[in-house]
Amino acid sequence: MKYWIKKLELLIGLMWILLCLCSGCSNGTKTPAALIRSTFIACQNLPYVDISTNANFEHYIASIKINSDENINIDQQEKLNASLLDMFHAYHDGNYDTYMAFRTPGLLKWTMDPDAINIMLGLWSSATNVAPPTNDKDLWVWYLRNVSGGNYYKDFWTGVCIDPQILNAQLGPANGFMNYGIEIHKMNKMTTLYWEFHDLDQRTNLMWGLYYTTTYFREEVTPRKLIESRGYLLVADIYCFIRRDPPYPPQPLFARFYWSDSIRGWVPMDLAIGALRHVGAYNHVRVTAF
Amino acid sequence: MNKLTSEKIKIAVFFMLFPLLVLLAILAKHRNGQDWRTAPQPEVERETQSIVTWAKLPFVPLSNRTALTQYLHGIFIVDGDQLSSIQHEKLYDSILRLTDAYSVGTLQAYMDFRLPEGAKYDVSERQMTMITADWNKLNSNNTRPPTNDLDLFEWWVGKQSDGGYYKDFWQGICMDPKVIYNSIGTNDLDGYPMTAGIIVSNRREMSPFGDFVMRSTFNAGIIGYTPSFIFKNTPFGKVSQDTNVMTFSIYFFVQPSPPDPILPVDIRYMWDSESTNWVPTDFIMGNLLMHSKRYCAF
Repeated sequence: MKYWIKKLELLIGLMWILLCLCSGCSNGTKTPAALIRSTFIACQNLPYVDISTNANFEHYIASIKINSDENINIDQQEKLNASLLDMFHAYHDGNYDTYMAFRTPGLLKWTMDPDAINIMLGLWSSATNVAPPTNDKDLWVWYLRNVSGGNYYKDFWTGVCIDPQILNAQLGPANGFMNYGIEIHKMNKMTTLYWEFHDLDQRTNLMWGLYYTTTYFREEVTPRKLIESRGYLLVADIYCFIRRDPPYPPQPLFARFYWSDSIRGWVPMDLAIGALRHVGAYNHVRVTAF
Repeated sequence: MNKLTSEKIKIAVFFMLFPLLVLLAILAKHRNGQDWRTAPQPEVERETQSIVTWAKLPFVPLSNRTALTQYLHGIFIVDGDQLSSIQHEKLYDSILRLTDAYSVGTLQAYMDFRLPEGAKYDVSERQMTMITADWNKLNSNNTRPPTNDLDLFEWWVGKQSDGGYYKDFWQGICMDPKVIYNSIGTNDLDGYPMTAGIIVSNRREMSPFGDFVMRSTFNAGIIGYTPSFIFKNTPFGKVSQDTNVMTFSIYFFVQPSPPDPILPVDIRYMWDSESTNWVPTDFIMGNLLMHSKRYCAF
């Protein structure tokens, strides 16, 4: 009997060791769940700067060093800062004109994308029983109000953290996505954030589930055609974190603008927004239109 | 006596601890090791059951052209009396071009379906951007993508069909609504009425096709294809329409070559009065469980 009890004690000991190995506590590394939790807390604790019309916010954006190997002139730098301010205000101020100032800047000639019209008509038919508007703009105005929760993104984003040094220090390396902050470079081949990130997003099944926006606007000469004719496109990549309206958690934001010689300004090209996986379900009422 | 009691206590403690340890081990495994993508999903289980049911449908082989033509002419067309004789005749031609596109295995057969003769079109910039990005990702050397959009699209058809231009991808179809309803009922698993067969519509307002399909047909997990072409003489992508639009939609099942499972396919055509041809404008296909290397280009 004593012999069997000794054997059983040994078995229990082995099971404890096995259990420790399973739960990952034996090697001192963080489990995926722990890593997600700590990243979530780190995102919440970032020093967000309130999006506002006062000079503080403008100075904050202007203070971020633009990382670039290209020869960027003062005009391009200032216009990029202005475009970023337009973007942050577009998802904060709650004003249709502010949104459009970001989305269709300057004298850019654009039309609504035909596929986008079909998507909007789809939403219209599921939301109403009446005939849709008879022009593109009215349909778009309705659509934007609808997906923004009825108020054109009033306080949708409330704060921004875009300082690469702070993001690196508090969140660790950018893990193969864009670099933190603002980076300007030449794009020699047409690509999209979806094609750049999708594999990475799938492989790193840890924290960010990315939502890729679909463009609703089509320029007269598209970025694809510009690369085709000129061989490259000057683009500005933005990787920052945004503080959302409560109760939603902060989100990483990836944005890309391209330089348009025709309007002498930056044009929004692509947007991807992340949401933390596994930290609870958030029933999002508002969807980021682009 | 005391020693015996101590041994009994140890045995009792062990039997109490053992199930607890097993439980903890299972919890630890599930906390850290389970991939959300492989977790049991009731929708997938339901879909699997649907495929088993769909496999029992009688499929007409595409290899016998005469039998296929006779089969199509035997299908009752809902509201078919609204069609003119030329629309009626060309409806069958369009369906035959569709089945050729996914079985003959040539680029020509595919393009005959996708861009009917004489129909004016624009490319979808959204889709061409996606195809260009796909090209650039696959060609990591400095090979530039074709500058002609049609050439780019044709490259993509080859790539999406795994190089074979859909040779024998579809082997048979089941389109007769009487047979479909008799075999698998008239409601889907959520209780919505299903739609099968060929349906003609002639209305001013166009309902978005995807929305209609999602609500009313065999759809547990559908892929809606973004069209690569927008036909100029159709209201696709336009908000206003001055006159009625003649369309026909087909809701049917396809028997693909193994190992792909049975697929529900829904396609809408619009009448282009200038080219006097039906042009394919919407394409939706099931289902969640398709792990094929072949994806329908559209």
